[in-house]
Amino acid sequence: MAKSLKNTTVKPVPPAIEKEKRHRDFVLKLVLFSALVAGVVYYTDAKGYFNPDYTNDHTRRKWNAYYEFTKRNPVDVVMVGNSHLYTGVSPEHLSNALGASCFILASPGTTMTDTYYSLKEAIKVRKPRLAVVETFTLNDYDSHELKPGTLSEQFKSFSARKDVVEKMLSTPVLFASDHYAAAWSNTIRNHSFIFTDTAQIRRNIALSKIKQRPEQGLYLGRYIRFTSGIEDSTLLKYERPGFKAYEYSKHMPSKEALKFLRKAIELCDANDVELVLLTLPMYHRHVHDYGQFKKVVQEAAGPGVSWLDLQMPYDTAAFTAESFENTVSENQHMTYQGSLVAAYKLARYITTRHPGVVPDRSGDLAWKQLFYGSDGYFENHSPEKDGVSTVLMSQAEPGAGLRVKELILVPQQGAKRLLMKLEPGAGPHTVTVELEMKAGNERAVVPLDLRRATAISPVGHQLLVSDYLDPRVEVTKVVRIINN
Amino acid sequence: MLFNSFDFAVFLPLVYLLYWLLFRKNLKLRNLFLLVASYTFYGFWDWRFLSLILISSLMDYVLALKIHQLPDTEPRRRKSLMILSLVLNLGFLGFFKYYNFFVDSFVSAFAFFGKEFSYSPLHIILPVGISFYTFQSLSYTLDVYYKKMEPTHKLINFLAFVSFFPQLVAGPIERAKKLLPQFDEVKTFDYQAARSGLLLIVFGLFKKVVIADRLAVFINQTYGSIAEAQGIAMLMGVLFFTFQLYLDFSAYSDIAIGTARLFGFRLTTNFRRPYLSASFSGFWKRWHITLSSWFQDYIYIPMGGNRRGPSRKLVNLLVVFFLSGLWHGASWNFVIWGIINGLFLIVLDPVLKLEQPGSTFKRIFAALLVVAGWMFSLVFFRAQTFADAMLVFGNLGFGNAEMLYNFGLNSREFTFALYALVAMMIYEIVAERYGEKLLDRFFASPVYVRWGLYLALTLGIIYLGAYGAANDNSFIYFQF
Repeated sequence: MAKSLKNTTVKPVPPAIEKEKRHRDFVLKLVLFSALVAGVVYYTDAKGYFNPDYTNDHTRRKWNAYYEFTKRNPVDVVMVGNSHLYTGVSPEHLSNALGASCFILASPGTTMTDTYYSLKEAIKVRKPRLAVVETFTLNDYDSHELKPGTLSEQFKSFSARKDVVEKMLSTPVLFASDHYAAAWSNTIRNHSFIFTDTAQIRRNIALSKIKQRPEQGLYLGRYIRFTSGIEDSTLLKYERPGFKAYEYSKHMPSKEALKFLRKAIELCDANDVELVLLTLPMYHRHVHDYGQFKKVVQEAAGPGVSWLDLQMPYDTAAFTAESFENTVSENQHMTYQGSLVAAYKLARYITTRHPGVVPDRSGDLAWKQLFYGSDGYFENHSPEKDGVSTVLMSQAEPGAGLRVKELILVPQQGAKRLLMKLEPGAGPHTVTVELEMKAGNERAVVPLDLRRATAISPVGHQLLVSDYLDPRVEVTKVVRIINN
Repeated sequence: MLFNSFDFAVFLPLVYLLYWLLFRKNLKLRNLFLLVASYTFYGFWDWRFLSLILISSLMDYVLALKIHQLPDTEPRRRKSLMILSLVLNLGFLGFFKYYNFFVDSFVSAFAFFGKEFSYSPLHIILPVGISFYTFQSLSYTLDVYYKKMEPTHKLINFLAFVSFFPQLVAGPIERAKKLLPQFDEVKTFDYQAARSGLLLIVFGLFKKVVIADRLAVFINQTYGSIAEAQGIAMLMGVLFFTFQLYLDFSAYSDIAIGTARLFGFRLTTNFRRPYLSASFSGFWKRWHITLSSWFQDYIYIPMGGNRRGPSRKLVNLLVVFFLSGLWHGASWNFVIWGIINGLFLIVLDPVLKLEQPGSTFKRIFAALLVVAGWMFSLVFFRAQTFADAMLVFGNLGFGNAEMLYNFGLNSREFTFALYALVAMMIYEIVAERYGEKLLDRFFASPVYVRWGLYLALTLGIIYLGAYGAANDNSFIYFQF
């Protein structure tokens, strides 16, 4: 072997070949170096060292809950949109009113483009029967022109979704090229934590050592912040001459928004998912030129589209000042009370305009196990022997011309509440129920006023509700019912 | 397209690979490919203005050939063609860059003498890099006119020369004599040039993204709210701008030179550690060298330079600095900045004998004086108006230290910026001492040292860079 090597004459490598080889080496080294850099970034991403504080990221929470929920349960209604949706519709009440599973996958300040991709992913994960697309996302800005605050929300929405292929395909549509890396990598997006929030990095390092638990319990994407309605002093601002809080003519949908509205309609058609456009209202004195907006959206969506428009015509009896956030700023959201009105109006719309599309699962054990006792359950369904709720009367005619389907005492919002369900049709606005109550060793007969629920309007019956009661009280007997 | 953008991060490797793998062997195709790449690069900003570059290039291409074809017996026709090129090139520049400025100045001047005119400014978009490529293209016609070079008949080569993407929008302003012949060279891959080019690119990006853009946050806020920036905050704003401008612009030149090297092209050095200069005239031989030499060759020397006596020399220098100020921007502040620098050179250099050799102490003192003078002039460069500049001077001081961190940088970021500046200046001093040997020594060092530095710079850009949705990361000289 050594001998043969000695006899081998080594030919000089021609300079051109040598240069080619060096060039190949150079390119290979570059590729290797790039991989090394990408590896370091990937490592800090995977470890989550630069993650933002997720405790307040409700967009991520919604998606995590959706992925977890759909692993084991069917989903019937998926709702997509922006903050107007997750503050303006109570998904628990909607679910309980329909006897179905309804999810909100909305993120704040988002565009129609992002909304479309959210809907696409939601359908891909588990196909719903019906999709609700809220129209406030048809705003005037395009995804490539987002300002830092809104862009940050679009990053959150994008980052919360998990389908890698869809994300890759949607990246150039959702972001300007300079934001691609930030959209994909928390390290790139939040690298400034090194200077601005080292405490968060330390928290993330600690968290990276703990296995994260999946979303527990029933979370359907509600995020309601507003409890008190528009106050009188705020209402006075609408009296100012020439004052216009929100002018739709200044926020007409962009071409991109209309294009993605049409794509959303086509997506639902292609997947055999029924679609409802939903316009949630702002206070009627708050909004101007809505007709212009409506006309443009109608033209873009086409004549056959199903559209529940709660802004026009506006239901002044249902949507009172109490239904809206106490502000005259452009972005007026709904309150909890308003979200109940909207949820029941939507439920009624779905059952009448799309009958049979959303199944009534209220008899299914699996559904009941998930939804029993959740917000709006007892208003729509009968309690069972659960040791917590009390059925005081069922299918009775206690006189005073009343036909009571059910009189129940149920736990709600950390208190107790008396609910009376009557057959649908014209009924009393208030009744007084005299109850014998027990708290500790004391017993007393107490008259309780029940009023017609304005916000809660179940599909199958009329509802009268009491104020919230002390959770310790027990009702021993219904003494008398007076029709006022 | 910005060098510090995702688009460029995709564009550069793609063009590089296509250039070396597909187009290297056929000169015509290669130059056509470079032309297409350069126009694409520019078109990312605004494709409509490509027509302006094309028209400007075609004009000079044709005029230079015509000038060359005319015999010496027709000096008037030759001259008139050269003047036509000047008028057309400067006409474009004047319209897009100076129209509103001149009209506004005339209206103000007439108003001063009691004659009022109503005037509404035109909404003119300033084409990025117009000052750079106009000067580059113009120098070609002038060189042909002065018979410093033969014109090229190869249209593609000439178009590629004017629009060569590494230096198209912010220089270095290349001379046709140097760059144009390189389009006729058959390129073979040069490993040393490529790796030094790459190092320059990464180093330039580090200077820009990690240091200059971080300083920019503070500067934008202090200069953006001068009334609030009192005492040391304003002083630091002024000091930081001195370094931001240098790091930002020299970073662009580094990346441009580095990028050109990857394609086998050699561009002119544009900065040679100007803040270590011990005289004002020395400073201008180190700062934006390609513009200074352009003014020297095409304005100062044709006006007589220093050949017509000392007083004429002073006038010539002042004219050059006046024009240099105007070249930078359509505002009287830039003119004032130019004249101040001219005066420093004319007055301080001879009075303080700065150009004469001296002790180390004298050189340090002189360098500090030059930087201080430069810093002073830059207040006019950065402030929006003369009144703003005066406000800045009025606010300078050492008090109100508690306000220092109210201008976009918290204490950690501010301290980092200071350390980074000190480190950069130490590097400059070392580089001044060792020159090219420093790079040779680096490339001769073990692989872990080299890769360690590459990694440190690259990861530094990613983890310590001042970039993101809230940052404006364009290069300062793009506005010129």
